[in-house]
Amino acid sequence: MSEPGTRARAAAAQLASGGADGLRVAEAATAAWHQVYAALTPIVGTRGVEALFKRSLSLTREAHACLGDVGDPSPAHDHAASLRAVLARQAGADAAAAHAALLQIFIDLLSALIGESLTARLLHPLLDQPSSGDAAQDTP
Amino acid sequence: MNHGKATIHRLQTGVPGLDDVLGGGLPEFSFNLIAGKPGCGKTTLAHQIMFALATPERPALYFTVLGEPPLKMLRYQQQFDFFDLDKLNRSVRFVNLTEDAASGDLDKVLARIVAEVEQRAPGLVFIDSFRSVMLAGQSASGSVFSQQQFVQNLGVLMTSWQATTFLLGEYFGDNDSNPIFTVADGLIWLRQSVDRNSMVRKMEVMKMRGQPTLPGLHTFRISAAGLSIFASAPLTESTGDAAAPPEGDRIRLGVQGLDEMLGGGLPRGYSLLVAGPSGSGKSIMAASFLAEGARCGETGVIAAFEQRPNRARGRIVADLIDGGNVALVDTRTTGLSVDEIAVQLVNEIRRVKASRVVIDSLSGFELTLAPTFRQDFRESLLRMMSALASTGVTVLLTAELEDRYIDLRFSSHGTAFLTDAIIVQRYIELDSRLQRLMAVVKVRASAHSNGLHVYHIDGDGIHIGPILADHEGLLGGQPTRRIG
Repeated sequence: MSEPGTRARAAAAQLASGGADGLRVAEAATAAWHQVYAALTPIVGTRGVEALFKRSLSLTREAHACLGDVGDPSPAHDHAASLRAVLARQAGADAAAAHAALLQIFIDLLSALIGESLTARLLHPLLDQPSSGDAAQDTP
Repeated sequence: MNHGKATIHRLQTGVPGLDDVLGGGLPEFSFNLIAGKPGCGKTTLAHQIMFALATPERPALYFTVLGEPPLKMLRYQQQFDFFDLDKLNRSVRFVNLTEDAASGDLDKVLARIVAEVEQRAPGLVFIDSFRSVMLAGQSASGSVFSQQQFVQNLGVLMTSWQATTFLLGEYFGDNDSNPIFTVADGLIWLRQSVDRNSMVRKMEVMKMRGQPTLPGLHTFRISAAGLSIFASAPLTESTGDAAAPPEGDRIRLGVQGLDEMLGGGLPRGYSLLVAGPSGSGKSIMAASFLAEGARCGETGVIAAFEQRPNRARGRIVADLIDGGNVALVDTRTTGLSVDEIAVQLVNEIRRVKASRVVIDSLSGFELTLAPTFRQDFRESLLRMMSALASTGVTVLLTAELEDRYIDLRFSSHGTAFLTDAIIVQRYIELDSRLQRLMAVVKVRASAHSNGLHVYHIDGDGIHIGPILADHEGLLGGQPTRRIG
């Protein structure tokens, strides 16, 4: 597991601990993947990112069967919308776990190819953003 | 008068040796082609130049097209020392043109390049690989005219935006024609040739408008630091029959009696060839030469080409290296060229401010060379000796000489004419013993002994003995006592 992947997973998993429902997780996931695509597409091309996404999806489906309903990326298929729809149908905890796993596997895959430093550098808008979860409550 | 004329700034490329080959650096705003077959180092050269030159004030745009997948390129290029992660997306930005090029619409590709250039205002632009763009355009339209227009427009655009531009392309032969050859200001050709089990990389700057480049093929090597180019040193005036050094400025060789044979030591700045058969003490003499330098506070450089480099260097030289008195040039790399050794020697001479250099031996040197360089050995040696002479060092070269008693030769390489002085060593049979004989054959523009001296070697080094005045036929190997 890569450090950037672990970081991304932890941030995504916070959604569940914050009590987010499936729809909220789906929106957060859409935003995260939008950032990933925005960062990587100019460099590796749409097809390059899609190939990584497809491989990540394949690796994640075994543990998160719900992702089986997400279609493989192709020019004719809006897989981001498909992922959003699938996650929105799940319970919050399940959706957050699937989203966290998919994102981590994608980033681990990228890290294995181009190294953790370069991955962290390219995806810093996603990895370095402050947690979007609720603020921790002080104990009385 | 240069008043009012355009000033062409030359960018220092950060690639060792390249600026020399280019004639002082890369002209700013030039439009260049880096060409060669796959695997010859085009992308590495481009990245090395880009990371050296890119700054926030002079950002670089690196367009990748249908060639090497960008992920693979990033994966491998980051292994090089020059790949600076801190510059990524600050001074260096990669832009993928694959989808635009795949359409085959060159106008669309150009529009995308224009959009990126206008947005980023780069000082450096790279298109890798340019041939992919052209092939995509050709397959779509089949029109050479549109390619010509594309290249022309690209050249005009980049010049107007004051971007120093590099197009990378796989070109397979000298007869390959392309409109880019005409439009480009600079053509840098990378080649690699395979001969038996050796592979040699060579670079040629076929064209660089506005400046005198070093002509011909120059060898280069790719290491973790990137490309290093070993520019063929031009011949300087100090070779051949140049004026002798100032009278009396002589250095001692550290072998008792030998300096007297040389007429009072070896004139400083001279090159000396020590030729002799195996075991005659050539390397011992070379070690004494360096040790004597160290004793006088001089530093030296040695390029040793032994069969077993870890064992054969000898205690004296090993101690001098450990003590920092002598720098060692690495000769264990395969596929060496004379130019590479010459560049390494000159770099080391400058680094340690050396005044004495040893090359031990020419025979081993020749064996270390890649086969393709062996046929030019003499010419290359001449250039190397010229480069060494220009630094002012005194050079001692050794040469393995097969003992032949029917002729008197000094070097199996025909290299004797390259040196200012020659000492020859031979074996003779005397009183049922194998004895050694030494003579000074030549010291240019200087009187020297013409005696054939016996000498012996012990733990303290070489000891020169008397001449054998009562013997004759010494050079035949089996002298006889003179009668009467």
